[in-house]
Amino acid sequence: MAIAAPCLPWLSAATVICLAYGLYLSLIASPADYQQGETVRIMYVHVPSAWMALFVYTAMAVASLVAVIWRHPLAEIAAQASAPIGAAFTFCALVTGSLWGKPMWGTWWVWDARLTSVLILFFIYIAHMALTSAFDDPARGRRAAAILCLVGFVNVPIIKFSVEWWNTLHQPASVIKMGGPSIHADMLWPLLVMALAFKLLYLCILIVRMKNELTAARIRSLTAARARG
Amino acid sequence: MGRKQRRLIIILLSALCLAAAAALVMLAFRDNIVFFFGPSEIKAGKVQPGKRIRVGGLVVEGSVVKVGEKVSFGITDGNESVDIHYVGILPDLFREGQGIVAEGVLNQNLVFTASEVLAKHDENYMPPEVAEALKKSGHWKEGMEQ
Amino acid sequence: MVFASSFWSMGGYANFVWPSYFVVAFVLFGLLIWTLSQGKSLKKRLALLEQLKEKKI
Repeated sequence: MAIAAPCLPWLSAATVICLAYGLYLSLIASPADYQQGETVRIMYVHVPSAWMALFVYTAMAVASLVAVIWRHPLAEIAAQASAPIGAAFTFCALVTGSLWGKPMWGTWWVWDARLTSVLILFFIYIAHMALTSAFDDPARGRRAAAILCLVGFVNVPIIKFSVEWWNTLHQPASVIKMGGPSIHADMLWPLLVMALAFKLLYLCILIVRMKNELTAARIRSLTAARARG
Repeated sequence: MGRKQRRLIIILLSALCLAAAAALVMLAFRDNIVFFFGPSEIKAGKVQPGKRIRVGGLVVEGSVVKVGEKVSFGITDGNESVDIHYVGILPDLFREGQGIVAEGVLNQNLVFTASEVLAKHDENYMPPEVAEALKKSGHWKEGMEQ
Repeated sequence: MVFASSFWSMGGYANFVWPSYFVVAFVLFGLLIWTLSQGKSLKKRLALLEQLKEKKI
């Protein structure tokens, strides 16, 4: 935390620059798709959101593992602070996917394996947030949430490989696949810039949320000390 | 053995159990979480007529016949093909050679009456000029539009 | 103005492209602003508590 906090201004600046450049690329400088036309621009917010939904959850699972085994207090706080950010990214991925699905697939929503497993991920995030605040003793809430996070991690590989294991309406991966990405460089570049911008944004919000959580912990201990007299 | 090692081992063991359980469940569901059936599976009699199902495949080139809102077309997976009848609005991505998924009912003659047609798009993204150039130069991969 | 109108119409898909960007901006910036305002009020409360503690001693 002592290292992360001074980085925050630099990280914020990098996020703003990356986001501005990414938006310019994805809305103005990139071409339309040969089949999907201008709707392909939804990809530049949909795919990075979906990647972040999985990335944040994986980071939370690692933090929870560290928290459960080594009882590292910062790891617990990191997991707790990540959950709302992950939920926000998952929500974005679901809504933009729906807005993309309507014109292209012809439907807002289908219960195929990919869409359903991402919806489940969203519910796991919500459950994690609810469980963290369900106990009077925040330490117990975090412990319970860490267990939920580790159990829920089975969903992550299911989401990733759902498009290969089952017949889904959702198409398979374009960027991370054997034999190189099947996406033209003019479209891959804005996608990667936006993905980097989202990752930086996650780090910024995470650092602020963790600082908030530490402040809240100090407030709790001071209040408890006052109550004891 | 320290408490940390014990916790680590407990977690690893439970993770292993959980992964095994998930793998078993998924194996069991493998055939049940099929979002759609292909024409070969239908011709092989894997689908009961009269049941509400989804079929998926590529729209056969030159098979689309439109009369007002009524559309009929064939879909194929390269080996077999199935005829589909549909009344309604088609998605923007619907075109010959494009992958689609249709929901509806199969009749005794293995003709499918769809109540909903969804377009399935591929994982290839490129500007129109590049697609043109690829087609011209003969580097267009077969099945790229699947 | 030709550029501007074709830019906003998004090839006829304006109703899908723009809401996507709007939702993402709204959710992510909403989260950011919520987090920052939370931090501000927490810091205020902490400062107050520390002041009270010093006065007591």
